Amino acid sequence: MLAAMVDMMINLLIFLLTLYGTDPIDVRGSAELQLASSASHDPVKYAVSVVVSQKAVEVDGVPVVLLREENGALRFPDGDALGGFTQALAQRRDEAVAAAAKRGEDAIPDMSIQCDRRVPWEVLGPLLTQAGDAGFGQFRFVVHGEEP
Amino acid sequence: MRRAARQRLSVDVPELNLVPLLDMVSLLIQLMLINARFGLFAEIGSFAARPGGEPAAGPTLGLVVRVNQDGYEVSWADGDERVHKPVPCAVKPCAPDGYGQEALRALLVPLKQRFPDETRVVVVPAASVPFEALVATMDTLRQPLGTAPMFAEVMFPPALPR
Repeated sequence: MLAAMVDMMINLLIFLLTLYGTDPIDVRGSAELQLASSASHDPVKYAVSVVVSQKAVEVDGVPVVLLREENGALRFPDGDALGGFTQALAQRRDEAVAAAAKRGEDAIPDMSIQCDRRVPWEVLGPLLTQAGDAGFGQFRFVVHGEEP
Repeated sequence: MRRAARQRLSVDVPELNLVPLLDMVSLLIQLMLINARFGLFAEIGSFAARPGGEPAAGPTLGLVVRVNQDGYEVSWADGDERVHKPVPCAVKPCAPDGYGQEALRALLVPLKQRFPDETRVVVVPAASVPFEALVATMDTLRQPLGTAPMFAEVMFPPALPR
């Protein structure tokens, strides 16, 4: 009599497995990373991943800049705030260009940015500028989208 | 002979024990439910504006949208002059989704109709403007007019850390 239950569980397992296979990005929502909502329904594509949360800036999952809060506003740390970010970006750019060259392509790498909706422009702007200087072409902001 | 065959057929088949399989699948489902993401994700493309970049062919609109604490300020080239038009929010300071997006669209539609080939817009946010307000602005700029988005190429100016 357990056959019906096994059938149901296998169906549930297949459904969950399909959820894992659809997005090329890994979005881990948390109190520090709440994505903005948008009317966009452009599908997410694979690119070098930058996460800007209320706590830190991560490049491909590695924290490179720890942000601090000052008088209720988010700030970069003192000193060479973006040194680690620039270095990590340069490394990822070289890897992306080398991978494209192996495939016989001459591509400018893109960047996928998961940014917390409350992050102000004074934090996000310099990161985009550094990324542009490092040779990244397009910035693709990951958002909660709508059904096409 | 017949009696022997009948005796072989009457052997009991052991019942398959599914309990360990159920245990394993239950644990796997719990693990996957904890890590599952049920939201639908999308992306919005943008570029970094560069001084001295590739100039557009033909007459350009030179559209700039400033996102300030008290609303939008839209400017564009009209012949040799630049026209500036404020689009204030109804309630100040502006909420991220209360920036007068409808008024901005109403201002942009005639401009797009005058310059149908123009796709570029530079968005200049004030320092304290949150990312959520920028997404709402980009959505308004990229809203379709006919079959294509109004201004698909959203660019941001260079910014330095403070």
